[in-house]
Amino acid sequence: MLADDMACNHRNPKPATVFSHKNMELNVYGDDVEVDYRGYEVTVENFLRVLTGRLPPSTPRSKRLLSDDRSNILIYLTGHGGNGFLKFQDSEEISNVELADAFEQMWQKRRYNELLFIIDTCQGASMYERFYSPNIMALASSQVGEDSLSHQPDLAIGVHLMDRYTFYLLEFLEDIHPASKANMNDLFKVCPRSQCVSTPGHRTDLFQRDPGSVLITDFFGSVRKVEITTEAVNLTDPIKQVEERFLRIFQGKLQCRETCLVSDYVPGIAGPKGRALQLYIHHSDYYYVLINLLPIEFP
Amino acid sequence: MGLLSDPNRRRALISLLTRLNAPICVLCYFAGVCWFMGLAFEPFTLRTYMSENAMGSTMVEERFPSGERALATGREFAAHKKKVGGMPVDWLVKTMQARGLEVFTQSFSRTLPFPDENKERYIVKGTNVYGILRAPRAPRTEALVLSAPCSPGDNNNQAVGLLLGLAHYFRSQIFWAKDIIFLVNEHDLIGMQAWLESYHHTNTTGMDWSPLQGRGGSIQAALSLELSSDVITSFDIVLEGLNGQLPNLDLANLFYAFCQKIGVLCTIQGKLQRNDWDSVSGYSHAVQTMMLMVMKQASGRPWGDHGLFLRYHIEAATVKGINSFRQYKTDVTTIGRLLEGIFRKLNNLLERLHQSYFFYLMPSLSHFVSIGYYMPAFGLLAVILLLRALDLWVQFANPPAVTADGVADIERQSSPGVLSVLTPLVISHLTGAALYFLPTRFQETAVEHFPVSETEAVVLTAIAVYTAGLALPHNTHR
Repeated sequence: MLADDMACNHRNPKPATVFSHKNMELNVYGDDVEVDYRGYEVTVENFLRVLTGRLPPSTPRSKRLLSDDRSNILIYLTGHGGNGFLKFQDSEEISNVELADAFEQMWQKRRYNELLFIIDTCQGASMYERFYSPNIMALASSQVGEDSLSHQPDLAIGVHLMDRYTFYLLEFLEDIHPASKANMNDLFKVCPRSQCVSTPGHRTDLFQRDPGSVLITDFFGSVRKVEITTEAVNLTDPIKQVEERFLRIFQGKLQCRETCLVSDYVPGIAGPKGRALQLYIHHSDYYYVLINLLPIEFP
Repeated sequence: MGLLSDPNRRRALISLLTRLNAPICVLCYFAGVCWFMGLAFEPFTLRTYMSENAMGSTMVEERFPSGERALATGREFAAHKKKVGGMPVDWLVKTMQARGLEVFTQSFSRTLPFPDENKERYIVKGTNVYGILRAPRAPRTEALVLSAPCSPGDNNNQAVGLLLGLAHYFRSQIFWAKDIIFLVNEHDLIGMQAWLESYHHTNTTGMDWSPLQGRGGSIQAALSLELSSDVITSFDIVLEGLNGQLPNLDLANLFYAFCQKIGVLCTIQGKLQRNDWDSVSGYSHAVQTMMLMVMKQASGRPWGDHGLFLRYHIEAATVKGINSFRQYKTDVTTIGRLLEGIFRKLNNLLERLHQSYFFYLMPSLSHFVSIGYYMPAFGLLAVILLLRALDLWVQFANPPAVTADGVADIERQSSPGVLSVLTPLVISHLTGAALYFLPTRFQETAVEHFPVSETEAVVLTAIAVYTAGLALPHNTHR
């Protein structure tokens, strides 16, 4: 969710890029960045709906969280904030209580396995103070009463490029590769006070595992866990099921020569999603194509 | 009981008012004057600061390189101006087109109420030339204006040269989010007024102008440039506009911030800043600067071409390069960098300048006094009128008893009749109407019959009406 389009802002002298440093080494707005909510779509309501899953049915898959009870979720928030709130769009705020309740809703519906929450705003630690659901680990860039500061200006553009905590976090994560064994304790050490000026904080009491045994790649790098099983699993072929049903009904009773509406004979039949189905009847050495079944979705 | 509803207390208050009326009025007057004079004293002022977040710091890299080429363009402009004997329209159009701008011209003519002193003509004709630099990626909804007046003789050639140099440099940048309009206007205020009226589709002065063929979006800010020499020693900013209107203080703050960053000597009212605010000469310097600003606002005329923009709610200022006898000289490249920095910061704006003050006085470029601080001085002067009015009312309501020895013989002064109040009222209104209409109406007749010029005729007619008014008994009756 990006509320402001800085990369394509008319004032950006290096269009379509957001660099972490004025040496222009790392473009964080590269080809692998996907923005699902942009501009005025970034609202507190949309954010909470994405988290809790209460989206209208017409919402496309790219705008949904699509998580289940085995998903590890990473939430990263940055912007302007204060004691207990984060600012959205100059007109509204999300409070730490709302966020904690949203996470509890997610836990009750088993929408996450483990959740890592990182926030880089002023007084960021206030945002994770109210969490009460299990399996949440939180990091913040500054304590209550402290400001998080930005890193370096780029005079050619005229703005500061990145915040300090995010900059050093990015530097740290650039060294992590999918096979890395670095654990959360290393992540807690990122950006000490000497570099960040503010004191980063973290919260692990809700997390059931020991942070030292939690790999960073559990949340970063899209590293999937592969479980190998030796049992056999029976899968029924959905196509075969439909065919068998048709044949049972039409055995020897083929009257219709034209294309008949399937619903006249077998109400409610549907093909598997995404595949057109062609059914035929083999009768008296002739193959009769009944109809090309187009896939419909159940309401 | 309250102060005003208790009859005893009320009587005491009223008697205090009538007894001490004159002393209180005198006290208020002196307090008002002292308050106003005290505003120039530095501890009573505030340091200027940028209120607009989008223009936060001067954090931008200025890279304007070609001051010398700008001066060469200025010299070419001067030569063509001399050859044509006015504004070299064709050369300007060609040069602006060569720099990649969309160039348009506008012709205008105005009938003056008094003939031009030099040429004894009533009609002024001219042409404005302007080029629009379109923002490379932005929609054409907002614009900034950089203008330089085309003055007769040797004035302002370097300004036009710098304008064209900046246009060339700005054209090669891709970060402009607003269209930039480079305007060269003829006949100073008349040309500027014609351009602005046509741009905003209004016609308040009754001028004849041709409609603008090309237009940018709504203008967010404008800067008028006056530069008459190759090197300058100081850079002056002029803020006062038509009817004493001022641009938003953020524009002056922006100018000052960049002056400090680049290291150019900047002045306001032509006066340099001093550090010795606690000495008498330092204080009088600040008072002079502030009073100059007050007087310039009071005169009502715009003190630069920018003054006409303010009526359309466009924040505008004039920057003048001054060459006086000083050691440290600044070249045109540095001035170009300063203007580039100002324009880059104005480019960052998302809204019109509205965060800072619109009514203020500046005893120096780094200190200001807002209307909340200088209005109480006028309030104290207005309180005198209120006190006098209350005193008169009390006197009419309870006439003072006139006692003679022995028998008290109270003369009742009857309340004044309607006629005695209405007559002076009507007469003063008639005099006002006469002063408003007669001078211009009788201008031609006066010139025909009396050996006076048009301007003298107007002034003399006004004096005649005033003298006739003095002769009326009601106005001089005591």
